[in-house]
Amino acid sequence: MSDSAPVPAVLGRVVATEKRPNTPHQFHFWTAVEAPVGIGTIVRVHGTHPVAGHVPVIYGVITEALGYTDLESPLHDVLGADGSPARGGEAPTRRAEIRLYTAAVLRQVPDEPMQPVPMGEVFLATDADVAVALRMDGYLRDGARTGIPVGVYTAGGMQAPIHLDAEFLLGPEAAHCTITGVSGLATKTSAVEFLLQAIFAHFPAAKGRVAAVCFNVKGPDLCFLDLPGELDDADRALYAALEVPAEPFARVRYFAPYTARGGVLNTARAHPALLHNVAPLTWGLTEVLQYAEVLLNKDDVDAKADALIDFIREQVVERPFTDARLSRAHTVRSFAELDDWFKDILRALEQQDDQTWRTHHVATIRKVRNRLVNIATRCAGLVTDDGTSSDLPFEGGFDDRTVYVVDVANLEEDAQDLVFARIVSRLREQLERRALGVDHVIVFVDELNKYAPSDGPDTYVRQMLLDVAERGRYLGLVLFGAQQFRSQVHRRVVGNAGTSLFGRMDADELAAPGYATLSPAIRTKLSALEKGQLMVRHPHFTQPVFVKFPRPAVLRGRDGATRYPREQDAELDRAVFARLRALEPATTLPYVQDLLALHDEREVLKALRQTELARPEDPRAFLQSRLGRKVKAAARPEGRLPVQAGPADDPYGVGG
Amino acid sequence: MNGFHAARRACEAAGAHPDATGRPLELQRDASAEPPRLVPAEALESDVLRVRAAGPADGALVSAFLDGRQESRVVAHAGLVPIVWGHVGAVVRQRSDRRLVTWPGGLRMRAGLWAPRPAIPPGLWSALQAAQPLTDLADGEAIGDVHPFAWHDRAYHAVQEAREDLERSLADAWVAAPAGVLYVDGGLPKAERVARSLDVLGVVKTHRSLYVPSDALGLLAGLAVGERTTAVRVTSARRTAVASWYARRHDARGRDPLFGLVRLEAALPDGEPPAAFTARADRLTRMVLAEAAPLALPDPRWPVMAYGIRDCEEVLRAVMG
Repeated sequence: MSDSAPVPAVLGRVVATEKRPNTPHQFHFWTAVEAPVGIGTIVRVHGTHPVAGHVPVIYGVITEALGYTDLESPLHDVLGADGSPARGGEAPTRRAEIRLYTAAVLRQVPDEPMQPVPMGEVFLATDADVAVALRMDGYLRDGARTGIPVGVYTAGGMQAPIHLDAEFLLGPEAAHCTITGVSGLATKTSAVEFLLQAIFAHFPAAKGRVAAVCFNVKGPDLCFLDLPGELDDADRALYAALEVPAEPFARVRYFAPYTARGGVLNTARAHPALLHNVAPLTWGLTEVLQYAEVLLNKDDVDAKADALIDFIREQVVERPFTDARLSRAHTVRSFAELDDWFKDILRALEQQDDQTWRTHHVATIRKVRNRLVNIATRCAGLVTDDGTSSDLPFEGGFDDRTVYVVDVANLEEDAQDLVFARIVSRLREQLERRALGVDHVIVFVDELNKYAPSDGPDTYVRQMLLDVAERGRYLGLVLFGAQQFRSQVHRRVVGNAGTSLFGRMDADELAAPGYATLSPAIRTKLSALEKGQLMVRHPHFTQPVFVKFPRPAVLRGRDGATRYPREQDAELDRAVFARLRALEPATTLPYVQDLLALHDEREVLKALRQTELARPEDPRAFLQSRLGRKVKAAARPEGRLPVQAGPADDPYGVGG
Repeated sequence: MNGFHAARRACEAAGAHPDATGRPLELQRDASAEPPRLVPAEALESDVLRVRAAGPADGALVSAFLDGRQESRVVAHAGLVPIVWGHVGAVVRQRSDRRLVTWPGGLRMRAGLWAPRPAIPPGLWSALQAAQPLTDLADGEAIGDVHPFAWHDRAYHAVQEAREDLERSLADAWVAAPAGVLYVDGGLPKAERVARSLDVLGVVKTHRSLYVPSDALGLLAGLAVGERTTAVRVTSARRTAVASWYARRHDARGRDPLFGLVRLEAALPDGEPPAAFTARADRLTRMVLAEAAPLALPDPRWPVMAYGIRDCEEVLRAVMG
């Protein structure tokens, strides 16, 4: 420190009594009444005597605060004021009052020998102190910087950026992040959006390429990540302090299924101005059948049914299938063709008055048919009857620092499960093969307590999430989960999350045993956190730390939904017009109306889907080729129908 | 370090027989041993003692409080003669924005040993003197036949004098640069300049001596909150005469007649017009009455003790250990 450096003001003094002793992990100190400290404030204690040649410096975070006067009984104050609260303030002298704080030790320097905290002077931690206290100095040093800013620690006028260690956030040392908070305060989604921005801005290029797959399971929150939102000066100051660009995401791709009718994409992005980066998410029979377990009830589908499904998967789908008892050869590529195949078998059994086909009982065949064919109905819009598939770019097409939003907010719960299971499984497969295009994928799932509940049936999705939580970090598959009730998420999922963020918490949730390690004061603070405030737990931090983060620089879901009202497929012509014009700007509404007049609605939608997937040079020609040419009937003249002229030797004289 | 245990070790090292069991001499004394008495005093504001209203509260407040504390214990023996360790302190606590803080330079302490030199072997005396500040209880005089216990009493008074010296020195320092009225716990210190200062006020809490004639005792009993008696001149051979009067801090109805009764001491009206003195006494009384809140509880003397004095005691208790 130079001679001109200001001498830091003493904030307090460490105290200890026999009843309230200091330990190596906790100490007490008092301050002036007006000292700018509170729960979560980080402080530095200077030792008084050298130990092993070093004067120890201890860093701590305030976890409890007490204030009291020399009053022995509240009654004494009543008596002193003659029972009048107003008179209590008239006393010429305020009673002696103490502010006594308890702090949990964050770090002792040197680390050994670890002794009780000495009776030293207490100072507010500076930015540099905060970095040391939270062991951030280890991963913020030049040349080996792996810090990801998560927010700003603000106490006593300080603005210290808090960084997470990328190696403990995205692996391989530890990974995963859970975010807990009550709904409606825009904390969970906002925190994830900001954290993703911070990761994209700070994740070291040397550590590999990183992308995010976000499942939008409700509302329009994640639907406008590429559009700028409103920020104020305070937000911009936080962005500047954290060195994160105050801009929307530069690269976002959206995937959404169609509506059940199929006219428009079933997403809040279904607006002509926003469709440029939206792709359909549609799967055919092959894709769905790989994950049929997700949609089939284990209690309902027994071993016999499983055997038949396996048979279909391995022997029937996507290959020519012949059987002497069937009326014809089948090549099953879609649910419609699968249903034809089932019908053929059942018809054969009926005709032959038989009960089994290739060891499968007719009842099992009927049940499996019912369950499988029903999927197309339950997942309408996602599952195509014709087998066409549009998917995320799993085959090496993932781009660095890009967000892939899968909007399943309007799908049925079963269909959401299917989407979730298949996409995460595919990500895992491709990461294992190192063939995804990126080295790390962050999968963001809201409502984690629904997908990986601590109790309830052992579903495919839960098993998959447990697998990701326990083994994902070795693959680069990182789970960011948000939930209102962390206590209701499977403990192996939250237990494997290296980083935990907490927004404002419900008091009932805080009463759960999992929060018993937090002091009552911290629990109280958690229950009253404002928007933009988080409590952070991270492997490097021995105690939770409170931070502020800025509003995401993206358009809020509600604002986006208002500004860009989505297309409705009640007006199919307009919906098709919008989709086709996104491919070919010269398209006119009358052209689309003519198409719909000439062709079956389903045929038009199917051809349009194929056109959207193919992205041909001449979309209208391509679409037309898929539909086949039909000539519009010419208008007939008014009056009598023209009568073919009779033969010249008309014996009946009809032409006359 | 002049703490009790350091003193005990020093005594032991010097060759005295250490004693770690002695109770503080202050606790061994019987406060009621002082005989109760009525002290005739000359009335100052009227021919006879009267009662008058101090007037409505006007926001006038004392600026600071002064109190002292003492502790004395037998720390060792030379034969049967006690060697006493004493620790005295005094503090001025100044009011700033309704909070009390120590007046700059306003905390003074002293600790040391007290013993009768003639009764102590010269070698031991020298050794004790080298180790600790040492005061001769015999005050350089020869001693006759003295019961060893009598030294306890002498030591107590010697330590008390040391404490009063500190209080006096602080009061004197205040008077040298007054910043308002100083509220002193007890009678005015024995210092000419202090006793004549208009910036010092003594408040006596105990009434073993009452400065009223017997026919005026009823007047004291009937004194209501907000009233005071007229002043009398209190004289003493050991200090400068002062003006004194009684006032009631808390309502005594249903209680001991002396409940909440304090006696104030202030400088005599030296050339001051009678009306001016009466106004000054009224004002000082209002200052004392204003200190009725907050209550000095949990101190049992709270009816007659200002919170500022309790604060002084707490500070001294904290710093003296």
